[in-house]
Amino acid sequence: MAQQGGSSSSGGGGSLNVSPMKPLASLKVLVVDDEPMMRTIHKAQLVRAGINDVEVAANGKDAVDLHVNGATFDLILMDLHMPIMDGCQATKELRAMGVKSSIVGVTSSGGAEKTAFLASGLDDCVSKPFVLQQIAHYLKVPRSPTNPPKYHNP
Amino acid sequence: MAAHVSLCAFLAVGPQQQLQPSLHIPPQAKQGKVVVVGVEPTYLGLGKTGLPVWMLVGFGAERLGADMNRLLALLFHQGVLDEQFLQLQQLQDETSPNFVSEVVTIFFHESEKLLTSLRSLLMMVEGDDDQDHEGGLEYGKIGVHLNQFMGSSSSIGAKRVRNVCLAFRAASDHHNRHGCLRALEQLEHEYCYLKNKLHEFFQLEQQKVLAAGVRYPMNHYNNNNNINS
Repeated sequence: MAQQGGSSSSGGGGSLNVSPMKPLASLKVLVVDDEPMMRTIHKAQLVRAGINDVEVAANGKDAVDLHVNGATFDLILMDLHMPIMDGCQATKELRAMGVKSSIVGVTSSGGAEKTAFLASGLDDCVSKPFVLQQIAHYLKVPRSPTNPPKYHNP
Repeated sequence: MAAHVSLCAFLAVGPQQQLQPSLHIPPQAKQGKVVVVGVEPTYLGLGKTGLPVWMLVGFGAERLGADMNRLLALLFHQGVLDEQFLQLQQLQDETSPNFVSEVVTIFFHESEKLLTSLRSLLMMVEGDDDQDHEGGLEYGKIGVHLNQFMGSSSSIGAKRVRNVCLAFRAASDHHNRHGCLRALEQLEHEYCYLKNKLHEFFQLEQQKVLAAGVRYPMNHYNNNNNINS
């Protein structure tokens, strides 16, 4: 997340960028899913919630490339099974690049697959189809040193 | 079929209903029987003016709306759809008036590709043989396709399709080819039923939009066509 006025960050291996709560209309969200239908539904859900800036990517590589080209997002909704680069690999690469955005996995998979997905660097993982309340935390709750994202750099 | 019956029903008059006095009411209609007057046996039958008769009567949109609700209630009662379909409808508004039908059309397109792939993969699996490495690979691909099918069917509220996918995945996880074949047949059956019913629903929706959008003056019709008996 980009730093805003009044935010603070701590140095060292556990440093995190934090920012105060942003209005929904100013949030920027990336939906990463290989299925056109899911991209359409997720985008419509977010727009209905008041988020106007919603970008989509059809696979993990496209999501990574967006960040390589300088794009930043407040929230990334990441599917697991995708061609070219799956959600697990994409999340690992984004975290390795230093992306601190909230990344929430969205998948029908369960068990070991979901556990591995979470371990790749997700803040959370929800089932398809998700309801907005499941990700509301990542859209509305202000970040602070006492309320950091779940993902931490080791 | 439901739309055709409802079109006919516009012109059926029970003893409690009143039609415009300028319209000729056949005796059968007064007895509460369904009568088709000046309507060709198609969904959009045309009267003498070239316009659907139900538009002239003006009951079209309301009756079609009731038909849509009845069909939806039936599909919920049968467990074909769940509340997720309602969530989808809530995303439809004036800025995206065809949102649900567009999403469902994508679902149909993707589902048919998945069903074709699933059948091809099952044909490649020789038998219930855990030692067959290539068979194991096919079952792996089947699992991936089923995860996708489950996700997409859940997202539009296609509950029975999703449940069959679950059973299919269980059979696939156990490399049970016969179980997979049975599940695939059931999945194809459920999918076809869902597709037919949703097509019916969207046809009613289209007709309702047309009915609500067209108003034909009764006076003009009477003057030009002299239907009074």
